[in-house]
Amino acid sequence: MRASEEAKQRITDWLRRSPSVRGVLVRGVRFADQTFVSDFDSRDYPVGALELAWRSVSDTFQVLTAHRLPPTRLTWVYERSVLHCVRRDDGSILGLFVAKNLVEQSREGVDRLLSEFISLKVSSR
Amino acid sequence: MPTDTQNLRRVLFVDDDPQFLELTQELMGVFSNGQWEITTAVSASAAFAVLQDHPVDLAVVDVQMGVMDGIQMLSLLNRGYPNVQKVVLTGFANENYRAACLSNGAELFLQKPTNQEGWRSLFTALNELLKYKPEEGFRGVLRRVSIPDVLQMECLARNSSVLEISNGPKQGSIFVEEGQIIHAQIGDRTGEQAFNQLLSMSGGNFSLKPFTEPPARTIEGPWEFLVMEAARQRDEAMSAAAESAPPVESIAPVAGEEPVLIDVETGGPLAAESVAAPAPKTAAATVIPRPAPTGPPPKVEELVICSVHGEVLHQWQCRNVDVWINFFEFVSQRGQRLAQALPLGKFDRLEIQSGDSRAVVIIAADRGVMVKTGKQSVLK
Repeated sequence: MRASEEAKQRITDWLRRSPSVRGVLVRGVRFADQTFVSDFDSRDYPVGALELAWRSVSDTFQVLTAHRLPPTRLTWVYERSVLHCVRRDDGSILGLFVAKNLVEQSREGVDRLLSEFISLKVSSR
Repeated sequence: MPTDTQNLRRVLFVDDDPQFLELTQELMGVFSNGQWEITTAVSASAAFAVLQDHPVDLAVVDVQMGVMDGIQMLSLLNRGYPNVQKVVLTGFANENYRAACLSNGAELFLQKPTNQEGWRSLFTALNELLKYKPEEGFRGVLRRVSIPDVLQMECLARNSSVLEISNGPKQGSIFVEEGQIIHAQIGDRTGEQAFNQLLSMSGGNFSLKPFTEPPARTIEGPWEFLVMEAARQRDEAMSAAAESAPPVESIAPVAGEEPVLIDVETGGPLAAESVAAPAPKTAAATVIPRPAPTGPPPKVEELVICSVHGEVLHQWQCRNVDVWINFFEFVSQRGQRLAQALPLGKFDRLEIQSGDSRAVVIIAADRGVMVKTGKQSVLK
């Protein structure tokens, strides 16, 4: 079940409204129709590279699901950053890039954003 | 038209529809403004023949081409040309098939374009991919490609070579000349009997050598039939062996050798286990004898450690090692690609939460490690 245009807009509004969390560098949502929104614009995180990141995350959810290990949450750990991701039933994925040295301080805020995203009601019915 | 050979990208399109290839070549040539050198092939065999003479940066493959399916072709491309980036382009988009192609080495799985905007998007996606260099990483496919796969690749490419196969004291050879199997030998046996025996060997090593004239020509007929017949005989032999074998009891874990994974950042324990697992035969930098347990013990459900070539160094209760080897390769490819694209630093690991289970996949320079734990995991 893919998110409708209205649902996408609600998710986008939520992303823009959500308070910033210390340590979170970039927040982005990739929808099932392969479009994505991000709340951050930086030369370090250009659109093309973010598109690649969201696609890789989406592919990972799909490959693991096909291997009967459907993920509820993925965490990509790098030397300087950590990428936290969750996927809703409608296929939308939230990704949060967090500075590695602030992982502990950001943990509570990150967990809150991820669970808010999952439980977000986007249907108008 | 620009002819900057330094930036010239070589792209091979493989599709059994010549008209589609013609249109692709024309449009991609226009979009790339001469920056792509485009070649085409109407079949898998033609593609391997092209690759033999013209190295390419990217192969764009249709997955429905009759003789060979897309997964098989991706495996052979991985085996023979690991540094070529691979994209599947199809008019048949099935989610499961998409996942299978992605986990078998395809970087992208794209729909065939049907309008001008679609063609432009296709070019953009491929051109973006060409900006990244293929990384040396986990190449588990080297282990998984079987002798029939290699033979198939050699025959399809109409190569001439000698496939040398050894398994302990047993050693034999299969001679391929211009894509035809012409001779096989092992011990005193030659011809089809030797060929079938060589293809029925499990385990062992094989290597491809340049063609030399065989001592005799003992095999005739289409290679496809020979390979299929050998597979049939092998299946029959395995079924017979399974029926006559006594029931196998489950393997009991070895007590007192419980490993613990070490967090590469802190040097502290990453996971402990409540169920004892046998330690790997080779000493691994990430695995040491377990110290006295300090907290609630988590339950390790599966563990696998592989070399970068996909050799299993150690596994415990792993229900499908090949799936994880495929996944190591997938994670290695995606993890490193992201590190190239964004200022993240070196890729360390992927943590997967799935219901009550949690898995950690670590891709190190010399190995891949996966540990899957139950609900009580203390992984941080």
